[in-house]
Amino acid sequence: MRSHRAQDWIVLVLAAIVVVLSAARFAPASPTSLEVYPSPSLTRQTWLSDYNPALKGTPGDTPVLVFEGAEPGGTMLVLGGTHPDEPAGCAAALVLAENVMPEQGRVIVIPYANASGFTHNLPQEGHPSHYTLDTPNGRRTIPYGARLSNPVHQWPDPTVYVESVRGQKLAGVEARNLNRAYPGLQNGTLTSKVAYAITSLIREEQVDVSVDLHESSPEYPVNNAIVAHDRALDLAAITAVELELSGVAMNIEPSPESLRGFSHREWGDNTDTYAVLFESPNPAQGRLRGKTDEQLIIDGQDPMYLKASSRGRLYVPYTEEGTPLAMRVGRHIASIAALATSHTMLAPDRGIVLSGLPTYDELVSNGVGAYLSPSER
Amino acid sequence: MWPQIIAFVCMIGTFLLVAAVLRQPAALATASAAVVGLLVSGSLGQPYHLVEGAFGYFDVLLIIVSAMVFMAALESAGILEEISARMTQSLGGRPLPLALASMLLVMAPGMLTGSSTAAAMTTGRFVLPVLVEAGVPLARAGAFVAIGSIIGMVAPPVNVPVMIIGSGIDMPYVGFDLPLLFVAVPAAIIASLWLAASIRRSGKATAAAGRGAARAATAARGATAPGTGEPLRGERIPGAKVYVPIVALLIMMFGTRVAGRAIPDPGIPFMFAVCAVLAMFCGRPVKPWSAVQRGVDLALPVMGVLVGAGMFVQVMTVTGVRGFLVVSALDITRSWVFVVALIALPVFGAISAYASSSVMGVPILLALLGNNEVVTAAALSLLAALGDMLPPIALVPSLIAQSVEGGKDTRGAILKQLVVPGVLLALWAFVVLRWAPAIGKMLG
Repeated sequence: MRSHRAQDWIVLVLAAIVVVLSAARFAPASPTSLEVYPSPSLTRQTWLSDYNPALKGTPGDTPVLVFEGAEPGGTMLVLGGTHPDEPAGCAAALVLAENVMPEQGRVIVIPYANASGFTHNLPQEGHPSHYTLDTPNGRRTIPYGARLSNPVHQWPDPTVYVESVRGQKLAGVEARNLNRAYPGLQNGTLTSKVAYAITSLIREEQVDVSVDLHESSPEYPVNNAIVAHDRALDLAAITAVELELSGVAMNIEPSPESLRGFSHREWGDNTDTYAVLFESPNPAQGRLRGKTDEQLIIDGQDPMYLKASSRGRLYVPYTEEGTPLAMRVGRHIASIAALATSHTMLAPDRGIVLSGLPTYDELVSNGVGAYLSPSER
Repeated sequence: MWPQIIAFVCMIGTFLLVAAVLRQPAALATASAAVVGLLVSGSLGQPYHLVEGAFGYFDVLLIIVSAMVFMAALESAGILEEISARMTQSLGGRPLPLALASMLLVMAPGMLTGSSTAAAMTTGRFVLPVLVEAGVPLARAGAFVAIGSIIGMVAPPVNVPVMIIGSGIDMPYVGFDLPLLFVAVPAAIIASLWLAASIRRSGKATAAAGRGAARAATAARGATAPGTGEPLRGERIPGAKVYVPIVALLIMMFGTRVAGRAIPDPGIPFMFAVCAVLAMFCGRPVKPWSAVQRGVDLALPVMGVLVGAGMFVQVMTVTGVRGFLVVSALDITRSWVFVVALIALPVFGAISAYASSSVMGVPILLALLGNNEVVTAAALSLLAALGDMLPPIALVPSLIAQSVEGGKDTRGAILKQLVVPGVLLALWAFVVLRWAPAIGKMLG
């Protein structure tokens, strides 16, 4: 009995040590810790809560950056960080925000779309809370979060999540997935309030083209792809041709009518915008991945994926070079540029002409950090 | 790949050492294995992985603890006892209906919580003396309760192994009711037939066993309810009020699902909590604090295993062991994957059915993409759940043996009784797995 009691105390003390040593990791992060250093062409910086006041003061509020060219034209919205564990989406939005110089039209950038998701990591995924890149003037730390909003901000999950448009039923945790929450509810859960604000922004700002930047695991069938709403299929096709000419191969996937709550479906159905979503292959979020750390996020090189590729189990080409972050961000930036060009071809009076952006080859050669400002915090 | 192989061998070795040699609880064994995994991978400086992984099954933990408090309230109020007695009185003369009703009663907590332990430690303990009173040998009655608990864990509406497997491939827990019924119902019927063959008493004698069952329950479990000190008097509780907590729970569970967005879903733990309070007013007087304390006591071992399993899985992911296992599972021909599933899932399930679902269930399902993932996951969940009755831990038979006289001998006797039905259940799961596309088509 005495030895049992001693053993109980030993276990308790060890558990307490682990908890104390881990506490700093779980300290709450606020939306203001989401860094972005906009390019000189920034004309207005606002917050998402301006499009849904119910978001004000909540962990779902996030910066909205508006860049405007000298010549009037159309408007493009670019969302990064819908899923904060898909780092190329957020990083590409940051590269865009910190370099873009519009000549015609406007670009609205939301680099951290699901701000709440950037404040935690999903249990059992073993992801780091951030990764660091070298920039010409110092180091830049970018948060790496979770696919879902933080349960500390939105809890409990229902047993079954009933999506708001057609009542499609999903697992309860999907109630915290921003890309299952559109068009959103003005006074719903935190995630649906964010979705509602983004949908309202598209309407109020009369956005012509809306882009949601994502990543998927290399074993997932929809990859290196533009997922386009029915009305945006022509635009996506021309964009894919533009990309092909610059050496970036991209598949086109029509947005399935049956999948509700997705950005590419609900933006297109509920607003006048041309809605598209870009996917790039991210081994750090895949189930086949080996050791999970910052290196994997940045280099994208993984022996497990290499082996799986040699057995024909992947839906993207995967060699020893892997799929580095620079390559994935390069694909996103090249796709945004091609999309703007294609839209301008189709609707010259609502043209969007962007300059200042690095090309795909430049990003692959110089790395993502070369186009970002260093962290000030 | 060598770092992953070394880490995996060290983690499994630590688990076996702590669980089988040092005879420590499975929770401690899985947590120790996680710590060793961090150590050998050079990541001991990141202890937060243990905390983060421990939260992996947080919602499931809440469900289990609230379900156990609910069951403890039913137990303390004499409601379970009363329902068992009524069941014996009305069905005692008919072996098959008695076996089927017993099966349903044993399965119910497992169906609602996704935990075989919940079933074995609550209704299972009341059905056991009813069956013994009806003439079933103790070992076979114990084996029947164990099988019922496993099948209950697999049956809808709540199947935690499927949820764990589904979360691994971003598959929502939707559309599983029919496939899970297809897996569970034939198994439950066959197990009931197997039991009915053992009921040797005449109809008259068994019919009279209503009160005897209540007394047998009391005798089997001591003069007072363990932990509460409240006397189990074997007295009958008149009227229909004994059914109120269970009916209320079912109405809440199914009501929120049928009503969609019209009724907000307060979550399963809340439903259990409300019905636990109801139970305290629908039977004998209950000391609320004692009932809650007993429920938490019953839940803690399972919660511990889940916390440890969460740490274990997180460390496997961080070190790349999970990826190594996934890629290795993918590295065999498809026909062999079925055989690997038949063996590996129950064997890993002996550590924890939940851990097995995550560690082996996900990669096997990935290797079988295109094999009707919903039906496949349902079959895999039965294979993983079977681990809960396999040695060395043999969680469910051990718990049942603890509740009756005989201890280790009874455990051994129950395990012997489980060999044939256990093999049959595994083969049934294999059949469903192998022909999942055809079964999926049949179920629409």
